Amino acid sequence: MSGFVSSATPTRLTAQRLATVLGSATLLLALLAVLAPLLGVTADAHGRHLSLLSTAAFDPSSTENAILWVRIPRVLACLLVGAALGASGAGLQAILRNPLAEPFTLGISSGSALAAVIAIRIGVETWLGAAGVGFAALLGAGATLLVVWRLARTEQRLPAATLVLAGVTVSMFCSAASVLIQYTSDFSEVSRMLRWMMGGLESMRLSTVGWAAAPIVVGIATLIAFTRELNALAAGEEAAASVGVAVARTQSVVFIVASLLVGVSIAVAGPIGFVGLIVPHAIRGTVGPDHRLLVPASALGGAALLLICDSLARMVAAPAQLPAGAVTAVLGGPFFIFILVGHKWRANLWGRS
Amino acid sequence: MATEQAKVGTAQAPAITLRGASVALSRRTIIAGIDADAHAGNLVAIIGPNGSGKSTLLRAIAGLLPLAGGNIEVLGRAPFGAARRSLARQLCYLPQQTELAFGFSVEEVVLLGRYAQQRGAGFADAADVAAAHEAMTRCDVTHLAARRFDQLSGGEARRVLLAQALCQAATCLLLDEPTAAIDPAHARSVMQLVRAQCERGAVALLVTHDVDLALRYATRVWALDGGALVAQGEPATVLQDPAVTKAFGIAIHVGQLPSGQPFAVPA
Repeated sequence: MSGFVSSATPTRLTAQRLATVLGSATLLLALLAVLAPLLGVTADAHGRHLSLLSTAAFDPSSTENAILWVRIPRVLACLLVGAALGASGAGLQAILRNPLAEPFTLGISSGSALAAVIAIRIGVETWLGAAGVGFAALLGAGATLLVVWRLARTEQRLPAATLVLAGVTVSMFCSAASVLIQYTSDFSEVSRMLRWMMGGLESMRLSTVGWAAAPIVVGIATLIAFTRELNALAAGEEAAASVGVAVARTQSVVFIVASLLVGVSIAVAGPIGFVGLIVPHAIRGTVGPDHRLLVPASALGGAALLLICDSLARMVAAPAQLPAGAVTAVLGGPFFIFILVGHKWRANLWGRS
Repeated sequence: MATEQAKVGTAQAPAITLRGASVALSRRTIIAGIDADAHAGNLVAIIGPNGSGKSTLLRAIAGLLPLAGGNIEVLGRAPFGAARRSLARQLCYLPQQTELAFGFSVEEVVLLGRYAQQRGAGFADAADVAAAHEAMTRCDVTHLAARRFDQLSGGEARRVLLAQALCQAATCLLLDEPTAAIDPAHARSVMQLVRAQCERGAVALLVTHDVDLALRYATRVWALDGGALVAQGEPATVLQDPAVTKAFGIAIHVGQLPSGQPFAVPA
């Protein structure tokens, strides 16, 4: 009997293991968050190179200090948006029982992009500013999720296959509509639309971060509250119901909350791809499939990945800045191929090699 | 509620009651007006040709499908629409097929059966681990504990899922082909352990195509044909019932081994 316990212990999630993994991940992330705004060289108006890794950064009257205060909201936004995308990706993959699902598969990003494109076309920016486009994107995400949810839901159930089908269909429709609107827009509008669709965190204000923090934190906490149910759902809807899970409620809550998390993050930073797909994959390959650990760890991992990508976006072509969404996509593509080809990884993710 | 006190041990009230139970899927009638009872201690084998409605009947009793007519009661309440969590403490269901997404270990899969007993974050406590360990020992899967579920053979996976259902500690066991893909020796030990559960006051309904196992271990047999219950009663009698011969299109021969042990084979 003792042999059984000792040999099997590593496979079972204990409170101690959860605390150890999440605690050390949080520490690493905090270190990264403190370091990130200090890294990178910039130049002042006279062409003098400035580094924030100097004592000058602590002098409130210095340019260095001013730059630091510009970068802090950007770091906070990276943490929030990355965490929202990572956690919602893990949640959606669980209810769809599909490791290839991600926020963008379900049409949420295309829907919000369509709303943003419409907002730019009708000139929302002139009376509401850039925040107006973000708000339109959030409305678009909400409307898309309602349409997809209504289309997919049948007889108190939310079958995974129907949900993916509805998501892909709505996504294609919205993309086509966006293209049509772009075709009828003038050059400057099109360039602003494309710029928005690349996703980025360059001009982040502390007020935007503050506004997004509450829904993102509440949303991630809600997903974490449903992680045991997500574990049971891995065996299928009927198997989950027979061990005692309220399946339809779990699916609906997780789908709506995950979509709203994506909507808020798009409103803040535009559509940033790949984080919601890659992070849960990588975390699952590292810490195992138990969602009680996977969902919070994906939030931390998403925050770290987006912070790293955004810092690179800021630094590689300095003083020019790249859109963070482009960096996640450029890094994400090869990483995903690496996952697909790597035998060891493939065996861990899909169970067959 | 009153149903909480209705222990399966009471011999007079049936644990599972079906009255005119009908089920339709996509408006096609699959189960038509079934009347039957199963009492505590019964091990009921449900037999019938492919498409006769065995699995649908089991899913309806598990509360996974709505009824088109009649009613079903499990320990005094209708299973469809009941709170799944409290239902899971009384009733476990082994689906005919399960495909597990993501690479959970065998031990994690078995512990999922403890969902309804756990509170809070649901970390397995000593009682959960003990229940899972006992169920795994009885299903002979203890040596697989640390293996990944999706890398098991079909028969091993089946026994792991049975262990998951057993550690749910429910008194009504609904098992859809528990011995499918399982080797003969393990199939017998599976039937023995289900029988032992029934002797301790549980009631088991199991779908099977193995008429020999049905004869040897079941206390009763329900025979379905075209969604109707065409025969029910003592295993040896039902297996040789003309309605059962007609349903299968082949007679079932019931005989005796030299040891005196009865056996059944399609003739």
